[in-house]
Amino acid sequence: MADMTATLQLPIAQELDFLIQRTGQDELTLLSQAMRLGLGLLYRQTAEQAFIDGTLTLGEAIAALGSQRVNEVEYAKQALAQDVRRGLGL
Amino acid sequence: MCRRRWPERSRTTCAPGTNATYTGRDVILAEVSEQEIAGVRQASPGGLALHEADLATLALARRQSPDLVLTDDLATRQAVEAQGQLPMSSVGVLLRAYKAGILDAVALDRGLEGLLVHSTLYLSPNFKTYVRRLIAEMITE
Repeated sequence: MADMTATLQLPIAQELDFLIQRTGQDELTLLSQAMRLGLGLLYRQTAEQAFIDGTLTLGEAIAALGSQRVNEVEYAKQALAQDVRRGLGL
Repeated sequence: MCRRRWPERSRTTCAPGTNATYTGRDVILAEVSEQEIAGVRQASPGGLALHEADLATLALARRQSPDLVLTDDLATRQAVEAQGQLPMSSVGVLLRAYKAGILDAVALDRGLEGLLVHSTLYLSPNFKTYVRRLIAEMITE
């Protein structure tokens, strides 16, 4: 387990070094930026899943994902429902 | 354009390297001209991100007027609907195969898993539970 953690940490450390060298920003700034970006991505993925599952309202989904993405997801849901119906010959 | 009815492989006139799976149906390969593609590009609703292959699919669908146009791309699907034709994704094809007895429940599930987990198209893993719920609901209707 300890070996695996060390292996996983190595590329991150390398990436961080690369970013420090390339951007001139310090480690703390880069890590807080990464945290914001990562959390934002996880937030959007979770919100999208909740909207598809029907546990997030339209208004909440638009607030989290934006109306363009919500429209795409709604269209995909409708498309899949049509395909399941047509596929089963209903 | 060439037409083959598998397994009559020896009589095919298709180019070497063309693949098809035997389904008891004809497999037709057709060429689409630049002119047809340009015509479809002009007629398609604005704002849709359609690539050359999507436009060729739309042009072919226009020319041949099939019962269904197969696509897993949402923009192409919208354009197919705008042409007044019926689109269907791979999910629908798998379900047709299941309904026709070509796939059993295990193979259907494996196929859906492949589509919804490994596909890079709109059929993302987020839709996995949704599709399975739809199927369960519609089968019990």
